Amino acid sequence: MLARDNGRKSMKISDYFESLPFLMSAALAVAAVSAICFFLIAEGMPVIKKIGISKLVFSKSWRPSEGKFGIFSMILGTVYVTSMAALIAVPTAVLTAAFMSKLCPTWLYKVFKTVLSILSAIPSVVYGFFGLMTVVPIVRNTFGGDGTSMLTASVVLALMIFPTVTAMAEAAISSAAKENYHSALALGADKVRSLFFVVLPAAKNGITSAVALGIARAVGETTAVMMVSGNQTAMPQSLLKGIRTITANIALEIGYAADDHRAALAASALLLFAVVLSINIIIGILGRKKQ
Amino acid sequence: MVNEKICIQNLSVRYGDVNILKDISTFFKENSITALIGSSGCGKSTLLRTINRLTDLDGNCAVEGKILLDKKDIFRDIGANELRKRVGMVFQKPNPFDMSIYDNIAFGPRIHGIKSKIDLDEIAENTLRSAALWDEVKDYLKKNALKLSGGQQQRLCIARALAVKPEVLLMDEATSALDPTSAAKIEEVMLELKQRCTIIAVTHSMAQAIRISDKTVFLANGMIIEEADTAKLFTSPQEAKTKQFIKSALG
Ligand SMILES: Nc1ncnc2c1ncn2[C@@H]1O[C@H](COP(=O)(O)OP(=O)(O)OP(=O)(O)O)[C@@H](O)[C@H]1O
Ligand SMILES: [Mg+2]
Repeated sequence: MLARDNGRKSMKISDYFESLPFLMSAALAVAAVSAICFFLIAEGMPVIKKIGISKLVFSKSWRPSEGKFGIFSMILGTVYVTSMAALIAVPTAVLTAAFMSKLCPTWLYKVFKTVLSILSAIPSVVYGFFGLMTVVPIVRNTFGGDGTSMLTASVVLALMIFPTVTAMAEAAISSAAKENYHSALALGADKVRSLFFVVLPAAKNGITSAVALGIARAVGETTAVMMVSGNQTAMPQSLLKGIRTITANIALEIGYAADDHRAALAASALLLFAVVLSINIIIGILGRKKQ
Repeated sequence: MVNEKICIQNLSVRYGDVNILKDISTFFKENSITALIGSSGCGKSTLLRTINRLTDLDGNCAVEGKILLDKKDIFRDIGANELRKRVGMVFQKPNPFDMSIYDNIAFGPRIHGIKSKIDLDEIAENTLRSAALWDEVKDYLKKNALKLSGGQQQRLCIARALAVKPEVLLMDEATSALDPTSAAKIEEVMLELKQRCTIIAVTHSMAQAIRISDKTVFLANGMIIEEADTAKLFTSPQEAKTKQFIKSALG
């Protein structure tokens, strides 16, 4: 009644009330990101100032008890594990996505969809547990060593990012280039050829975002990797030796770290934050380009 | 005796439990343009897509009856890829591949084993000329095809379809997304192509059907209501439904 009586003005108020929850949620999200950013800078800056960013990033020894805070070995650990995981997961995921969107029958598509959503809902620690119980013994029995290694971690990580990349790539492939696909077929091309030479190129932006998201996820993944990677702070030596990632380092040591040690962990978190943020910005730019 | 390039016998097409095309029989004469008209959703696109078996892609699509291409059953005697090479298609929305103009044209021939640059160059020039696009793009063959205007893109799609030397060309409202000038160019191209191709064109423009087609088939609700030489169908339609449709379509 009131709304009708007051006409335009009350419309505005009700509009305002309708959008309030959205506005508040958005504000909350922005506040959270800023808070994290602020906290990391406040915690990490002192140590960065004290030992210098290049020493932190490029020095090879991490011995907190001796005041040595070089995270280079862990940066390499993260880079190696992430790229190997991507190397395994991305081609498989893109092929699976292509198969799902254009080649497989509807019932199988539904099965895939369900399996993927289940896979992406499994908590990280379960992947870690699975890795520990199955992948670690396989690696140990095949290659020797104790089984916890860069290779093991990469395989487990690949398994974890596979569903994310597949689901996103599938969406990109299905939405992109339906007409292109039909045109290629209408020229007498077989399905596989049409897929590889026409559809995948047309969906490349969407696929790139999917890959970037997978990589962002891999960089940030902690628990599962920590459970199967051995966690040695030494420089990574081979596929079959253990490594430690930046995230694992933080998770393992933050419980007892104090002073500079704690600050060094915060600084490495800041670094990680910057990297993941840049990946997300790249995803955003790619996404906009697509439209 | 006319040469029946494509002959359709008692064709029914179902999506799930819905009958889209109901017991259709007709033929398409060689070196002629046939216009398919009818209101939205009556099954025109489905008919075209059945003729080159793009309906194979739809899991819930069931086809009954026969379609003969040069007297051969397209569902039994001809493989889908070979059929589609012989029966090309141009879609409503221009959709060049995300590659150069040249590679768009070369895509089809390359699939079918033509590798030599000399042959491909020749095909590119000939088809682009046939599609009335050569003069506009001859100096930019390496340019990405998506940079062309809508009308140019559609002519490129026609050239791309022609590059595999199709005997039949299916055109699904190929000019409806274009400006009148581009549409007129494509109509000219179609009239020219008639010398070497059998063309089946879906159109919502009665004026276009009258301008370019030799025969017109009027579909309603998945059935052929009336078909006749174009001039005859538009000047003296026999069925009440046809009269009504033409009247409302001509405005
Ligand atoms: N893949 C599909 N699955 C289910 N139903 C479909 C499918 N494709 C088309 N149809 C149905 O078939 C009917 C005929 O569609 P069709 O595209 O052939 O119509 P049309 O005559 O080309 O219409 P328009 O003039 O709007 O293009 C429509 O009712 C449509 O919903
Ligand atoms: Mg249609």
